[in-house]
Amino acid sequence: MLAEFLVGVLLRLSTALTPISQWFEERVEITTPTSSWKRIEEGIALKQFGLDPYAGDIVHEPPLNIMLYSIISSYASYFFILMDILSALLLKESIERIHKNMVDKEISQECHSTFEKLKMKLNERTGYYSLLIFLFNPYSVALCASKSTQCTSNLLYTLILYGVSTEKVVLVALATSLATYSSLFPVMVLVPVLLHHRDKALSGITTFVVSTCTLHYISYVISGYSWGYLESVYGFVLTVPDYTPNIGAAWYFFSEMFSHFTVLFLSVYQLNLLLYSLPLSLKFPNSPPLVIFSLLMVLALFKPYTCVGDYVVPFAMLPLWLHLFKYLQQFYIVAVATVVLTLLWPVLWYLWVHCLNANSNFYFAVTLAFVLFQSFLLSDILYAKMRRDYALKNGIETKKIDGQDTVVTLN
Amino acid sequence: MFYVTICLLALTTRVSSFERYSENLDIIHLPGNKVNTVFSFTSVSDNVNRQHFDVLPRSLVSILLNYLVEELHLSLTQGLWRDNLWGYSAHSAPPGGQFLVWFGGPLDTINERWVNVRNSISGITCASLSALSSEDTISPKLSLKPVGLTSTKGDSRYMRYGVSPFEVVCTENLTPWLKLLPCGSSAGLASLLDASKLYDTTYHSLAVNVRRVSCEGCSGPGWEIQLTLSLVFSPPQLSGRKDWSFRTMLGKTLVHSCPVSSSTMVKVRTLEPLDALEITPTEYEIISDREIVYDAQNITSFKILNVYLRFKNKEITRGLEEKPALLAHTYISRVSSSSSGHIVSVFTNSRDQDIKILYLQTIPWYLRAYIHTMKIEQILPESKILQFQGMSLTLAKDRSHPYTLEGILTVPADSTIKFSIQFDPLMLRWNEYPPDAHHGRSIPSGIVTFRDGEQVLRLYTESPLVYLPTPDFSMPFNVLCLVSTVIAIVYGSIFSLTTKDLVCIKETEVKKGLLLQLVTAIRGLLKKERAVKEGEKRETDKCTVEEKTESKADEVCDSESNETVKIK
Repeated sequence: MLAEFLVGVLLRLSTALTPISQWFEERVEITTPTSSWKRIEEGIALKQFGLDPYAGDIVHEPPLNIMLYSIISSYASYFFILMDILSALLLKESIERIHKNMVDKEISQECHSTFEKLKMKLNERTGYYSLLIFLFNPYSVALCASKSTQCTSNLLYTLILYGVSTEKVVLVALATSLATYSSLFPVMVLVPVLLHHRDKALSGITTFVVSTCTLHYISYVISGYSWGYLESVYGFVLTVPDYTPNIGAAWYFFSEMFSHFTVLFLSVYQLNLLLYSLPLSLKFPNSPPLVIFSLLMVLALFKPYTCVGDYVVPFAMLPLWLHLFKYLQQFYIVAVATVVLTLLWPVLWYLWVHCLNANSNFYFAVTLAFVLFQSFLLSDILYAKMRRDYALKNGIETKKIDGQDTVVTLN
Repeated sequence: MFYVTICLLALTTRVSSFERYSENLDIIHLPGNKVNTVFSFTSVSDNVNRQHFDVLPRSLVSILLNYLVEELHLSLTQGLWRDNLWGYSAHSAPPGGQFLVWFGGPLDTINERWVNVRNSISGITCASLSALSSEDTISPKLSLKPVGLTSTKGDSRYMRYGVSPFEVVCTENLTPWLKLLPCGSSAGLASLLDASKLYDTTYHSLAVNVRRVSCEGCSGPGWEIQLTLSLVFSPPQLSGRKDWSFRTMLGKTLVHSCPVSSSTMVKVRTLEPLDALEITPTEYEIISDREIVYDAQNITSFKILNVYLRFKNKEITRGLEEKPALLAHTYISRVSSSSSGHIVSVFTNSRDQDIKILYLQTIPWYLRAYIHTMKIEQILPESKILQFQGMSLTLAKDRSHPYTLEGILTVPADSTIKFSIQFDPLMLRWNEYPPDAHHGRSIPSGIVTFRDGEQVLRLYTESPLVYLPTPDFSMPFNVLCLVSTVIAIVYGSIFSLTTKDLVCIKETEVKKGLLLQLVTAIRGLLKKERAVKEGEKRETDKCTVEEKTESKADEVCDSESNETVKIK
């Protein structure tokens, strides 16, 4: 364990403190307008000049975050490494607990006679696997090296997971309100947790509302009794005025939009992002971790300013679904596509922006394919979950009706 | 008879009202065999809001009066004035279009009036100033001050300034500009202007300057409207000689002077002493040993005026006698590993005393400039970090206004200092690019204001070109369809997963999509065909097999018989 942490820290130190971090900082796949460290530095500098950071269009982090980062700005690299280590620890702990809960729950479940064959075995190493994925995921290392504030968001996501694993709704609500304060969309993570723990829902909602209001009141006070930051922070992610390329599809979608359609498509796009929390929570009411995984994937797919950092936590949650892998249909294709497309990003970016040989369509094709393949992963895991539940209930073997072969299908 | 007298009286009174018009042509020799010709046409009038003007262009004045304009400067320039080679120009202007207006009247209507003035002046000069939107408009606090009388005492809130570096100047701007003159291009110095020669020059700057001036005996501040045209010619060097004349340089000679003009002066200033030159006609007045002047108002004394200058000694080449005190340049430097770059301005002081400068840089909003990367350092003779002594900064807002950065700097004696700021070029909406999107975009040139001796000088730096990443302009429909498809795939799969249940049904009852149905149908057809063929084949095969078995049976029998034989 210690050795893995040491190697993880060394890996991060060797990228964060060498000139390669500069390269990572400039990569559009890693830093976005809402998470780049350069913009935090700008916000700090503008405050020092005595200017309102939100008067311009560079700073999109809320005032408290700017304040936090201005305190740690001189040793930011170490701060983000620390964030990653904390996330890894929390992740290991919570994944282990969630896995144990899942196994326990399954034993107590009423099942078909063939259940023994499918039974989920308690795997002591699940937490360890996700720790490994988190620590040695190139996305995570690059994210940490680029000093992206997404590292902090990832810590909050793992905190939410920890809350879920220990069934502390208040902790989940608190972490969600912090994550929502930074980037608005994580608010939907609260829905499955509240629906699962209906008895604690009230305290959860109260905690969320109170902490959100407190955060905003403090922000209002420290930004000189002005609500100006709201537009720069939340208006920015809702109206998507910046078309800097990223690994999502939104940048090219809105850059190529006919102006009279913009409002329509913008609202559809944002609704699409927020839509999934309720149906998924209702469909899988007993497995909030799965819904949270799905919502984090949706967030990574459709957040207007998405980056590789958004995939770090959902990918690290994959060991939780090891028992579903039997039913996955496209995992191999998705894994290969992820690697290939990740390698293609910098290549096509170079061809487009530096050589001017290719054009934006090339880069867009890669980002769109990436979104598509990751969405396959999401729907595949959800389908596998349903298929396995069906098998638990009705047996592994498909029955024969009137002597004819049958198939299990959605209807 | 009475009416005639009245008319005459009216005429004489009008002529004696305070409207004066004068024309000047300055021909200045520049180093490097360049000739700078500056035409200036000045009209001055008293402050009378009347409907009739003798020499003032009514189309212009009515705009000024209508929108309560107190001062207006417009310049349309092609090329760059090279301070380092030619020295400072009294008529310097940034490349492209520049438009500066000082307003009077109420403050709250200024934005609206600015739009109207822009559109009206665009109309009368055929310039695309209307493309100068609020995105390019600034109101710098320190750098630009009114040169005439204003009621607002130079409060920058009453001023609007915009530069469009991409403005192309052409003969379509010259024709309406000439119409603002009382004699048009038919008489006077303006008749020397031949478009085919003018646009063959290294530098070309057309300007309209309007200001309020106090005039003697007027009731209030009067108008001064000055139209100037500054050109830099490279006269053809015939057989190694640098001689020029009106005819070789401008393609025309002066035949008529403008009758309403109070004076018409043609000045020639050379770098060489007059005794090294031969200038005809000889009816000039000598001002100094390098400057002469012709009074061209009374053209009859020349018949036609074709100033001809001949060098007696052909080897003379002279550079600037004195290096300009301060030089300023702007360029873009790119960071190799990314698409971001730096805007760099370099100031060189060649005097032996410090020069205090006021530097104004506008950065368009589509270049995200990072203030924390702003750096001022002395690079020559030694490297040292400097600071702005005073600074005024307005941050850019997307699709609203640009960055305005004004700073006071001291350039130490005999040294060079460098200002740099990092920027990221933005990707814009596909319809926000100019028609020639792949050409890139020019950023407005910086303005450097400083005091050199008694006079206040203003330098304009280059306006460098920045390449912005461009989308594919033919893709809107495709992108819309592709992204919508991906969203539909995700939405569709999650929708069916959450709304449907897994059931066990017969393989034959599986509902198939249209495409799948088609495929199965085709497959079914093929199968049928194959089945028919195979059926036929099998029958023939059967026969052969049967035959084979028979023969085999024979063989068996044979072998048996053999064996039996052996046994026997």
